[in-house]
Amino acid sequence: MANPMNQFEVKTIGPKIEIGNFDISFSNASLFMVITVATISLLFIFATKKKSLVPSRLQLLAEMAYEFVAKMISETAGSKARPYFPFILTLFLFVLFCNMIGMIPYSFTVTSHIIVTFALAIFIFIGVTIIGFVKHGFGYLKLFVPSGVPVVLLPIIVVIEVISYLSRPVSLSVRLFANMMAGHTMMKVFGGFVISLGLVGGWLPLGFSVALTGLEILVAFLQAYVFAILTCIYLNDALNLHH
Amino acid sequence: MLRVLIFSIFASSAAFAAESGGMPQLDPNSWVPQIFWLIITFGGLYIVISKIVFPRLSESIEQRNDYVSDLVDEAKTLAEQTEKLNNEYKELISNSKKEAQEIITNGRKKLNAEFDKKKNELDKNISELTEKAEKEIQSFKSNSIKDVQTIASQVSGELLKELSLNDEIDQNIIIKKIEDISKKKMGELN
Repeated sequence: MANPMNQFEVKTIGPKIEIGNFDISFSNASLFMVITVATISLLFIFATKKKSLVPSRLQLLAEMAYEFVAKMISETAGSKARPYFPFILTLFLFVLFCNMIGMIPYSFTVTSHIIVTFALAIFIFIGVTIIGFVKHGFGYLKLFVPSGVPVVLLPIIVVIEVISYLSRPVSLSVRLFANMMAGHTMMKVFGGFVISLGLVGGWLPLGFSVALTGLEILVAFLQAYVFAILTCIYLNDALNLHH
Repeated sequence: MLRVLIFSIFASSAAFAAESGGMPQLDPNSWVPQIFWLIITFGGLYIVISKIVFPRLSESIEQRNDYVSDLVDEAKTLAEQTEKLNNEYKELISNSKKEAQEIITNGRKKLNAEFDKKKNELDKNISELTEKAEKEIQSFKSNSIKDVQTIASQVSGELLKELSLNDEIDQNIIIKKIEDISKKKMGELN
């Protein structure tokens, strides 16, 4: 049986490029990032080309994505988050398309690498923290002091709050990465079972694979949604600060 | 149940990975290029979305919302106008009804007055005619009495003349004579 982890291997394409000490070689991971971004860009630029009053199907799709994210932001972070709309939209579309393109057989799932999800999460974490301090100054530290807590419990609560705040990028990135990796590994394992059990017993894992494909498409959407909505919630804490 | 399954597979795959040199995700050599290309691609996508896609989408959605709200406003004003026209129409109807009622009552009054006038005239005429006729009858009565008297006196004079000539005259002849003479006299009168 093929190693189910092989699908996550990063293989350099073309020559090794280095800037200073940094290796920036183009790989299959980079290729699928480019494919994802190109797909989203072409799809949305083409879909929004006409700006017709009665939208075409493609334009409607783009508008649905727009309104989906707009609703998500206004429900979690309110109107103050309006300037961050393009970022949240980009984030949601990037994660969604990475996940979805990863569902195509023989493709590479960009979001199944912890370093990618962690880079996104740490960027969000730092960005949100900066926004919080810029908007509220040191008052942003009130985030760690919930109101209505007895003074005796306060030191413990503050410690817990700080730890939970600092673990945000870890939980955000690990959630997405683990979901994508586990799903793809599972599919690979069941795919391997189909081959090894052959015509006699292979039907059961094949059926399971079909069901898993449906489940993984759901997970791909759900994780993109969760990633975006958690970003909105963090943004809400930074913008509105009522804990 | 699903979670247990995922975990077991996760664990087994991790074991697999351990056999063949670990998870590729944990290879630090692949991290820097991935981060580099992530920044390039994600940054590029952000620029495309914030500079092209987002303005276009918000414009087209806003445009549609404006159009719809314009239509709603127009519909509201039209509804108001309709209401106004409807009220005017109702007023017009009630006014005309009143007017018609007035015309009917006036006409009836006028007709009644005329009828009364005509009736009075007729009554007057009738009473005049009756009076006249009564007078005529009266005069006729008195005249005819006079005539009868004259006739009677003449008849009696003639009778006397006849009777004095012949004593032995039958009663019947007398009656006949009276009749003859009176007929003659009546004929003269007429």
